Amino acid sequence: MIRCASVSKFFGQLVAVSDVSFDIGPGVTALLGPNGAGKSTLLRLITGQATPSKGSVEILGLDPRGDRTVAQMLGVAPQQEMLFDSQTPLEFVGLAATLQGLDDSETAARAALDKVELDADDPRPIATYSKGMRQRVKLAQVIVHDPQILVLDEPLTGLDPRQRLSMISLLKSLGAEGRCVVVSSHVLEEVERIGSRVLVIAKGRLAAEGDFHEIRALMNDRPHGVELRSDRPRELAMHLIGAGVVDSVTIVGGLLTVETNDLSSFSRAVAPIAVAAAASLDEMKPLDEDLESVFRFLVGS
Amino acid sequence: MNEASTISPPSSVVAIVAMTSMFVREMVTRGRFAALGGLAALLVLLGFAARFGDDRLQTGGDVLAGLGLGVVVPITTLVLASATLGRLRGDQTLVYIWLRPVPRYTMVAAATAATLVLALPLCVGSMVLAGLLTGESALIGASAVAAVVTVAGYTGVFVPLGAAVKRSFIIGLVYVLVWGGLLAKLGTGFASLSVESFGVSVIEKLADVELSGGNLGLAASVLSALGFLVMGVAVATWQLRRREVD
Amino acid sequence: MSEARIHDQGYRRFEGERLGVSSAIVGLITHAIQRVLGLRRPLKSKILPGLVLAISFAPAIVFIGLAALLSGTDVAEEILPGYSDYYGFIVIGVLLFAAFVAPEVLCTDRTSGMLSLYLSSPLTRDTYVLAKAAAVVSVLLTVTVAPLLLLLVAYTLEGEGPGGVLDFIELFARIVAAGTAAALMPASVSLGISSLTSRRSFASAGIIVVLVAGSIVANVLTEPTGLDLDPIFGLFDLFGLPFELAVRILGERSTDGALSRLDDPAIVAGNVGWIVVFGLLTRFRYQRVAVDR
Repeated sequence: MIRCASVSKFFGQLVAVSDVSFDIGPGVTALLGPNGAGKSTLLRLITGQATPSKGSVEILGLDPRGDRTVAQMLGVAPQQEMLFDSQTPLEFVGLAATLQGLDDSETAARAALDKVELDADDPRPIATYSKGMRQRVKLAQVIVHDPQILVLDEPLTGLDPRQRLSMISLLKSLGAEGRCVVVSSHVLEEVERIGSRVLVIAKGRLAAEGDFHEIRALMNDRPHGVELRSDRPRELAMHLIGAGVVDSVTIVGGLLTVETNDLSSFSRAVAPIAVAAAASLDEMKPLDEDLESVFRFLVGS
Repeated sequence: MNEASTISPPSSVVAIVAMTSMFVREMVTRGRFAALGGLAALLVLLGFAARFGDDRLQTGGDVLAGLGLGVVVPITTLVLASATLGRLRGDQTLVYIWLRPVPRYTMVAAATAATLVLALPLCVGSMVLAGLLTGESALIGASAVAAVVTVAGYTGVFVPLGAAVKRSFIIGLVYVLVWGGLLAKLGTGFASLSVESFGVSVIEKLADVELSGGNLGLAASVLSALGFLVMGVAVATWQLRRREVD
Repeated sequence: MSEARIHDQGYRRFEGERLGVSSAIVGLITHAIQRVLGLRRPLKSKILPGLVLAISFAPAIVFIGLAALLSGTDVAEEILPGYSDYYGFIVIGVLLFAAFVAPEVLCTDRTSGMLSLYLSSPLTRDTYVLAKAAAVVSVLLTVTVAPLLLLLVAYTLEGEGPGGVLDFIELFARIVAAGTAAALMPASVSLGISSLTSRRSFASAGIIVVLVAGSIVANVLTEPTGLDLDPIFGLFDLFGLPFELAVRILGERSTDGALSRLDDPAIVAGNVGWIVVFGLLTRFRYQRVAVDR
């Protein structure tokens, strides 16, 4: 339903999104990555708020920026907290319903506020609302016109644990109805609970995609490449193999490339082994750094 | 596909009315209206003071042109207009109307309508009352027409300014002060692009009084102000089309 | 034995020298000046200060060029403006800086919550306000003093300046004193109004209204064709008043308007009075402003 083809976005010198391609179908998809990874920019490209510098974005085959009919089937909750502060939630969501073309906008707005557990008859303006309440008003204006595609930037921040659970089950049921729900988050536990399908974004690139648990398993099972530089690479290699912490070894000049299945025990073992081998350890770096660092960040190990 | 995608967008009129009332509600705050009301009251008071002058017509004209068209009308229109598209852009809330399936021009039309709905009564009201209190009947009608012309012209400048640049308020002030207050008094070339000069010229011609910064024809002034308003809507619409939205 | 342990990694103590209040004040002043002039900031933030400086310096540069061409001729005497005439070219610059600078340096700190950070440093409410005031005055001096000094130096080099070294020094001192006088009152007014609201735009509008409307009100009250009241009502001309003082310090007197009819003590008293009024307003507001956000 959403297709990004080689999408890049530059702001001057800064590369916010770099050559990203993916397809998003029905169901809940989570966009996972640390702060500043380019998640919000990517979402703004999908909704048409921003134009890609390179590549193209399509929603149901249409250009989200050029084709206004996209807006009829799109519901968006941006990251920022501000809403129309002097309005009541009912007025704010009612305006959204009216502009989407609903005939009975007030009834629709009441239903949407009900769904996010807010009191539609609250006469107070949004200015008096807490962060969690604003977050729910924001969601109400997304679902008020029953859109086919929902794009939500960090929708769980500011919610308390109970609200978080009910928000997650709401998103899941929307996904189960065959809608396309895209949710961004930088918190792993949230993503684990929200979506089976995950797009991992790191430094503006698509680092991994697929089922969350499968990605995690892949990370653990697959051999990790590590590059080592030493004055005595052969001796070091022999000791590493002898200790059983590596699966394969390649030596080119002073450069030693090893593969290991268990990165953390390798990291702990390598220094003592080098001492035992009387080899210097001049340099050591993981070969797939980006993905590695994102996951280390996300999984917190 | 469920029924959601078959909802057709609202008519432009419905959209404009809905957004206009939203803008008006966002604009009306107590502090804003206390300040603008105080400004209007100062104009009325000075209009009243002018009736005790030796040359009522000249003094009244100076008050209406200098304080009314030079300060009260531009500041009132600027404060109100920048509470529409510019405010939404600054707050990052523009997205809540920008992503709806309504044409871009309806958003600008609503911002313009909301500005006019509040600025016209405030400005025309205080100008006419001040004109009335000068005791010079010629100034009453002249100040009414001049206020309408000036509000329209400034709305056509400030609404697109808010859509186009971040610090629209201070840039709007620079336009009022530098263009209206300085350059327009240097020659008719500059004056023909100064909204203040449109209004001043209207008072000059209708009340037959000599004022600084006028010198334009009556019809030219009225048409220029309307032209500014129409151009303003066009420019703001174009800005909304090409801008990236937070 | 337990595996758990706590490493002292999170908190680092500041090991450097503590520089105290004076350096905090100096830091605050330089930061504020850099901010409003757009120094070390992207091009966009340089546009407005650049425009103001261009408006204020352009005439001076033109006159310096003319003086070079006409040096020694009688025409030079007629065309070239005197130093006090030059204030006519900088009024817009002063107005723009007054409307822009104080709201930028005061209101921004309150909306961003920086004020509470500053006040938890060695700065008190009073030293904070004084530092900001010093920054606003300094920025205004770039318009009220610098172009005239440029004129003075260039005229002197071109042989159109004052005769001897002593005359030069005296005129130099007068220009600095006069420009400072012209900067103090607008600075005080703009600080006072900025202290009333945390919205920059409202503060800017308020400053313009008070300065421009005050001028118009004073004119209507005192003009012979208007109410023709006592020239003392000219003291409501908040914008003209500091310039009148500056002109007097240069040893001259403006030729028309109510202010020209007032004697020196009245002009000085008017300036001091308004500076004190708006200065106290600023201090009062900052003694009370809550910093709990």
